[in-house]
Amino acid sequence: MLTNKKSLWLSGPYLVWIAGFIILPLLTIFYYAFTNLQGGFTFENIVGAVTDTANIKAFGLTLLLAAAATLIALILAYPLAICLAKLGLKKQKVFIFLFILPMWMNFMLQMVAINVILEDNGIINYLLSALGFEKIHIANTFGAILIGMVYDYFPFMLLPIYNTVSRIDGDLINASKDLGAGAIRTFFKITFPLSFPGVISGITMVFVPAISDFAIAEMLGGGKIMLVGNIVEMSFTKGHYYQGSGLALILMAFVVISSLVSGGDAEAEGGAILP
Amino acid sequence: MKRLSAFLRGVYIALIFALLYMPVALMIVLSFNGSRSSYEWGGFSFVKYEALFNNEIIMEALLTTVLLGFASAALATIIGTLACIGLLAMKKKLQKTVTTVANIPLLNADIVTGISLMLFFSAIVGRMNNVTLIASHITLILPYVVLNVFPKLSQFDKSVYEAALDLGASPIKAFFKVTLPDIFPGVLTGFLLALTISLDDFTITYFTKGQGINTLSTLIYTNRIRGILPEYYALAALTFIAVLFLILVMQIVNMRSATSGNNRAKAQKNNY
Amino acid sequence: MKKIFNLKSLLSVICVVSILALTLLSLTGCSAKERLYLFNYGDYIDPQVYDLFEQEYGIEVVCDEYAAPEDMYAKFVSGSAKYDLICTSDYILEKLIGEERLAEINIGNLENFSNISEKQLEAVRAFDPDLKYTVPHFWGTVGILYNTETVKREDLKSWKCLFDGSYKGQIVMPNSERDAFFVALSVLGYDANTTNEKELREASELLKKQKADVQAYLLDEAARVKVESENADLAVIYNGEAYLAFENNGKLDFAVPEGGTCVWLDCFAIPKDAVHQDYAELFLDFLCREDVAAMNFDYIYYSTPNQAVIDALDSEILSESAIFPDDSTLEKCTVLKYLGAETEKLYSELWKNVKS
Repeated sequence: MLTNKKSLWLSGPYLVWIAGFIILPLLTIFYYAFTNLQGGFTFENIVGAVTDTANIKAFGLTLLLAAAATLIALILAYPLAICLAKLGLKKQKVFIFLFILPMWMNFMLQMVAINVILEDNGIINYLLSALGFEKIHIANTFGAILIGMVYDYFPFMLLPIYNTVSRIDGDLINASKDLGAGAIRTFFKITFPLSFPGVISGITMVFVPAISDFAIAEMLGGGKIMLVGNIVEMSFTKGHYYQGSGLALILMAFVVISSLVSGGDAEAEGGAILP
Repeated sequence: MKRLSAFLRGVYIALIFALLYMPVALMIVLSFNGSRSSYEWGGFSFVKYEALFNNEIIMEALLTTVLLGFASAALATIIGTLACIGLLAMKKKLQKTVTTVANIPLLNADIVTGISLMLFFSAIVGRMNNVTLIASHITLILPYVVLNVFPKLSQFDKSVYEAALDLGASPIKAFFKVTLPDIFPGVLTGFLLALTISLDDFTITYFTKGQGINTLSTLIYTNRIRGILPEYYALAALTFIAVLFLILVMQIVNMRSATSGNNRAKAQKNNY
Repeated sequence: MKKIFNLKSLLSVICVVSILALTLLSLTGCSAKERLYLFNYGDYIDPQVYDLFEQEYGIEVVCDEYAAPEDMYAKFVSGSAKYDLICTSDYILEKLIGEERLAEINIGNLENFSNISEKQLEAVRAFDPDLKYTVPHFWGTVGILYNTETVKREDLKSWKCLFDGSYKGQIVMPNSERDAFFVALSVLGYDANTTNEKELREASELLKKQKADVQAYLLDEAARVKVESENADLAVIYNGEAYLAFENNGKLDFAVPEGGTCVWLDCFAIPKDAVHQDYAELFLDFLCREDVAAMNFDYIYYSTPNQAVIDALDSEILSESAIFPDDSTLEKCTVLKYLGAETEKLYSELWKNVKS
């Protein structure tokens, strides 16, 4: 069975699945994106998706937000990965496990919890006013969505970086120091270049979901902020399938480009969410 | 100096840890709060748990979520494990092409996957139902199963399997007696990971569910217009514990297989 | 350790659980239980009404919820889900009737239909002249729910207070295009049912400018909770939410600007392709029954069209103008109408523009 050519048949269901539930659905999106209401071929949906002023604005906002979320996650996660890598092996395992765990609490419940914290009459403002400070207004703003995104995607940044940093050979770093390089020089000459693949992988894994999100924006943005994902979602809930598909294709193009930048390493993605 | 930097590292780890756990801890603490407020303590109480268990709609969504998770994870594991055997027999180039296409849902934006499935299903079957929902979940989680099983299967020593055949075992029997026990950690982690992803999914479910059915995620999303229900605190506490258990099992399986792998590697080293 | 991960037992447990899950899940779709699929606004029927109905008739009501009527229309038309009964607003019903998507209801089968007040039936005739397709559920107006400690009542004489920056960051606007545009159109002095593109564009500009002062775009309960919890000072809201808000927070009050507001009417209707028109009619009759209508009224306090319920109410609730608007308010009210496909398209484009 294992060596036999007949075993090829065993992947039959899988191949049928791929054809039926991945390729055909994607072709359906393409069909809708290039069809007008009368059923004829058109570029209108695609052109409309990138020329509509509301869409352009949403694209700008989305890219800005996704970039900011990615950057903040990187700034927070990189030092953490280094700190963790310096712990004992057993401790490392436990801590990585602990840092991944909150990610698996139901995503919607996470958003609810963040709302509890950020609301105008929520915990943060309660603490601020108890300490005699001015209340801050952050619920239903750009900032709230940013916090939600960083929180939700943080482990995606941490794991790949940690995976590369923890594998750096200590001898290399010692050698560099022995040769007279300072800590900073060692970092930029040895540690950072060696961890670079992890950084790139982390960036993709945060950036891709961030540019296509609509649920976080809807849960934390109070309906005031429209990202590209929200416009796509709205097109479909309001029944504009053709325009919606056009915009979805553009969104997919962004995703493809961002993952090509990192080499589209799906295996890293699939593996990285496991500690 | 060294001690200072170790101390600073500890502080940083603790800081991020606190930030990451703040929402979770808050939900758990508040789940025992007798008052509805999110910052005033109204005494220790189980009212929120009571409300949760009495809320038929949430309980039904919870049941749907769990059933959906198990059903789709099980089917995905079967399809995925069989697929790995077939993939192994393929030429490298074909194998690469197939897995690249199969991994599209992994790389693609969930919203695009969800919409593509919705459009496709409405074109062929008209309206969504439980079958379209399970099929969509399988599509989403199948790559995770393959990614976990395939490495284990390619490490598997084929000669053991062939020996079993030589000793007169049927291919199916040999698979269950010899191959499966060896790759089982991979199959199990694949299953558990698939299950966790299905339980956590929102976007795919949102676009492909039929009428009258909700998972926890879609229920909370539609309920967002009602603000935060007291039941959510209890729900968050309970799901967190359930997930803790799931991931812990996954970890133990992983570590066990890793140590047994290490031992084998060591044994091989000693032979030289 | 070895024991816990005994391959055979673990494998069989997983298999059994999964097969069980699969069968259960596929069974829920086609269980022996009779089901009625309802598509409704969120939290618009007392859940106990469903239980009672199931007890009495053995039919389970499965309800899906939507937020904005335009969403409901899109999902309905897409055919991706099939319902036996829908509940939605007047102008959408007008559109559905015009497109011949609704089934004629055998009003003769509804014994309790006579409980519906003549006055509301008159309102129904505006879009359903022969009373063939719809059965009223609740009606009401749009007004402003506000916190008396932070908002001055005299400011609320006109909708203008929402646009002059005096309540910056404290305003909750409705997340529904027609309601939001209605407010802007009335500030500009235009008809709420205008199809004039220039006027609509002007209104959308006004809303866009206002957005900086708006804290959130929310509907119904979410808007109410924002003001109740004092996270916002004032919300444009359906009158029905006001009474519940008063009960939860004594500082709140409700006002209808003197320039007039819009009045709306939500009705049930049966889609043409409903699987169980008979169940739907059974349920409609049930909803019109006095005790059931009273349960629903006590549950959300929207204005009920059920005369039998109104007659049984005590004068204190009847005089509550937030629930039952007085005639002088109603005289100045506009009914939102369906404006045709072209204007509707313009609306959704402009609304997208406002929100992004």
